[in-house]
Amino acid sequence: MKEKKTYLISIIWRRSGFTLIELTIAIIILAVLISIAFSIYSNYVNKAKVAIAESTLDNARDNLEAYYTDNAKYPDSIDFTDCIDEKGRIVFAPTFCSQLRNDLFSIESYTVLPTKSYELKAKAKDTQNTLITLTPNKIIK
Amino acid sequence: MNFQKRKNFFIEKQFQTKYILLTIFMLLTYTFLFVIIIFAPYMLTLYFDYPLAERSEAAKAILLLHARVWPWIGGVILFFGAISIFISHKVAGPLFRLKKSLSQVTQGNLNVSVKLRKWDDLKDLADHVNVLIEELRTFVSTLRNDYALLSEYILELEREIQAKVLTEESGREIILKVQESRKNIEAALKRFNITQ
Repeated sequence: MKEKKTYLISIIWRRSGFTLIELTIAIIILAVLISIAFSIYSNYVNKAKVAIAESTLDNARDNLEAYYTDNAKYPDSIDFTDCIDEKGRIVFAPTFCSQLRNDLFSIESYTVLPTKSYELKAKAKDTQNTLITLTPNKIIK
Repeated sequence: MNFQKRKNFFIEKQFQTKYILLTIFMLLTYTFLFVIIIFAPYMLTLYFDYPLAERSEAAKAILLLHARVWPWIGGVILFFGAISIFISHKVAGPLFRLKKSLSQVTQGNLNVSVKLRKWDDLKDLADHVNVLIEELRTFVSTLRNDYALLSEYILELEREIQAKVLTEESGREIILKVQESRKNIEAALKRFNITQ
């Protein structure tokens, strides 16, 4: 019984323990696994950044709707450093304005369309800087 | 020189490298599982088409973890990798000493003993080796003593034969002395067992 036990242990550990080479191979395999996992992971970090940009733009839409009910029109142009329109009226509150600058990589353009509509183009913070277009009814990636 | 003070912690390079790698291997495996467990729920939310509000919550959580978790994990791996040098040294140091003493013994120097530091591991093994060296020392000194005695008796015998004064009585006396030395050697040899 005792012999059997030591025999088993010797199979698992061998007499010389594990060699440096075995251990190095194990670490290399693990490194390959980790690099695969990392690419998946960074893909998800990118997705998260796009999702955040989308949700910020969704918030911006609510703010623009509020502006529309107050002024019966969408702002003709927006100065995105202070988030004010062409007449100096506040479009986005200062806290939201800074959030806008934080969560987006850049705001490409804002144009008012004649049919009670607008188009806001912004880039997300992911590696490809996905362009997201916001209109009153939808968000287009 | 202060014996208690360690100077080199990386003394048995191959042995210690092995254990540092083992530690890092375990930490990486742990990190792998840890990250999967922590990130999986949020990743699943992003993977499927949940409403924007839920997806943005998950995204916030992922980005927060992304910023916080990695420096800590890197720090922990570095810290324990460094610690493993000290831990493996607790074994590697004594092993190094044992190896040095034993190689001296193989070269024929029996005036050595294994001295370990206060906090070292493997004290038990060192004690055994010390007992072995001590026994070898007594064995060799017994042999040496009896060798000297036997040479003396042979000289005495030679002298008496040359002077032709060897009586039966003195001859028997010498034989008795030789027998005694023989017994001593026999007893010393009996300590060691060799299967043939």
